Amino acid sequence: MSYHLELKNVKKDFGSTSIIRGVNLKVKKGEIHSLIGPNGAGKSTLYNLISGVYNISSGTIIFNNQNIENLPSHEIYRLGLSRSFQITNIFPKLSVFENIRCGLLWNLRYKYSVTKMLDNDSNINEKTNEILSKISLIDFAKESAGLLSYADQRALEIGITLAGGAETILLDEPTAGMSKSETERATSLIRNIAKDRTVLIVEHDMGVVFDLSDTISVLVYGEIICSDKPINVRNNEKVKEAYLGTFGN
Amino acid sequence: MSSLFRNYKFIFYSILTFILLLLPILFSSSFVLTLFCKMGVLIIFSVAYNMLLGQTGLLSFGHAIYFGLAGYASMHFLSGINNNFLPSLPLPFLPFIGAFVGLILGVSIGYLSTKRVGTAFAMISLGFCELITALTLIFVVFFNGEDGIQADRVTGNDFLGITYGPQQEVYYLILFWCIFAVSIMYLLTKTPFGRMCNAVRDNQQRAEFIGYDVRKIRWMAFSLSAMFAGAAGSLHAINYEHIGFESVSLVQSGMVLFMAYIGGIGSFLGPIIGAISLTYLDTMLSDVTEAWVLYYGIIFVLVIAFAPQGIAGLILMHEPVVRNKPSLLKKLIFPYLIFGLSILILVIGFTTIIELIHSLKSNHSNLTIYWIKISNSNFLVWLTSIILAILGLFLCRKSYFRTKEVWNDVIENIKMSLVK
Repeated sequence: MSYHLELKNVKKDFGSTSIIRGVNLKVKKGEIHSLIGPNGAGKSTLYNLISGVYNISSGTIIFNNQNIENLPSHEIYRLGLSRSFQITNIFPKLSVFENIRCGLLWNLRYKYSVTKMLDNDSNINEKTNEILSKISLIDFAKESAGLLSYADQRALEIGITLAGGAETILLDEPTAGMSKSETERATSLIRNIAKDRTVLIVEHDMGVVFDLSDTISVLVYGEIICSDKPINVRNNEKVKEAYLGTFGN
Repeated sequence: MSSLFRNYKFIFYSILTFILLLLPILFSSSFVLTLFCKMGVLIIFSVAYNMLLGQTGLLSFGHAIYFGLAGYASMHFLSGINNNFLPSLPLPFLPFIGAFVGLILGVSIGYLSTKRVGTAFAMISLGFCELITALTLIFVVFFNGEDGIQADRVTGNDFLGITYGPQQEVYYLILFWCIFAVSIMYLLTKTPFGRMCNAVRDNQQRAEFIGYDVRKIRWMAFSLSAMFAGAAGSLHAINYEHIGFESVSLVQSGMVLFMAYIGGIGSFLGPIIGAISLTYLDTMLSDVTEAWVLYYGIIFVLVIAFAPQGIAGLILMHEPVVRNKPSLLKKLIFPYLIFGLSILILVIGFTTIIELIHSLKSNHSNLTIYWIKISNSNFLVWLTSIILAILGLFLCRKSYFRTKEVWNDVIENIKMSLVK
């Protein structure tokens, strides 16, 4: 069968150091696929390769039957692959409303228009409000995004990613640094958005990973050592070894 | 509520336009009229410049070249009309020529420079500015060296019976263009392109990940900004019937940067406030004191150090307070009054010292400052002004921290009320 997103023998060297040493990864359409691995395994680098921040050294990346390796970020995005970031990545000086609305622009084919007036455009403004209520930030619509709490900024970021309308979303540590209740809120938000999308997640919180995922892939030192259902990953000897039993029980 | 608010806005702008239309009748002296014309031209220029700096986050040190070269082109075009070499074009349409020249230059120079951002972009703009300034002395045919070029704006072909000889008629021409250009630039901020300029400024990487080619956004902003700067340059040339090499130089580029920055690059109104106040200061202070360049520089440094969002930023930072808890504003009135008073004392003391020092170079020992005649040979005068300056400095420091404390309290209060 063909996969929605497939990486074949992807390698990335920075100078003489290999960070990604031949990754093979297959993501099925519609699943929640988690990518885990110890610190420094290359998870964020892999994300940057898929989303076009870095060029790969060799290999192929196929998304929806198209080769996307080494395309610029905005073109990969236009093919329907959107991502969030490990560091909160929003437009801090714009209002919360404006953040989401900017995310909608390309999706709704506004492109580089210099003639359309957005404030009177009920279509985009209604859609913006819809997303704002989905991520429960509608009350803060007028505030500067930079003033929001950390958890709210993360939610906003997922909102911008959603606004793009991409059917495939890469989330980079969506619950990092959150309290328990904030994590629960983020988890239910992710589950909610995954209903009609393919989601790839990098995450350190094993509770979240095993709770959400359909498939888990384990990345250690630039290679995928295991890619399977959560229950099988939990019992995999190689994974246990790599994590030194950190999630054995 | 919002439609009511819109109505107020509409009434406000109608009254403002009406006042602007009446100005030449209220102030008939040609000196004041020329000042207003200068303000109008520089408003267009600084708003255009801020499209780049404030809206898109690109710091250019050479934006005067679009202003100046469009001015040169317009002057040549005018001479062409006067020599019957070119077909007659009514004067009000001449800024379209300037805008066109600005756009062509912006598209081509922007193609090169918007490949880079930050320091590299700023350095490229500086390089182009020096290059064009040097060209004015090399290509004498076009630029006529240090003398610059002149042309008569009265082409003999009246436009609707208007000759544009008298300054008053030029005032209305500039007023029309000012309202026209600034309105278009304002509307541009409301378009997808305008919103994405802000997004690119805030977070370039994120902008890419919502589907935009950020370089294209920067290039468009650069080109359009150069286009409006070109229209302003044309009007500048019409206003003075002369254009010189200084109009493409670093001095002019720095001037527009000062205006945008002191007015406030964070808001649309900022550069307008900056252009009006600095043009006024430039003209008025240079009449009153020869040390005005020094004051000018000090104002710039202080704004950057203490109010990087400029005058408009100082006003607009109260907006969340007004929107969420306007009653908290009362808390701020008293600290603001004290702080203002401290600044006043410092300014009086400091400027008196500067003027006293400056007066030493001439033979006259008497000078008038703040409507008081003093003598620089009187020891008490020196002592008083030094004491005033030190006292002012001390009070400023003290009240600055006190004001900041109160302000932080207020903001903290607002933030608390925002948390669910």
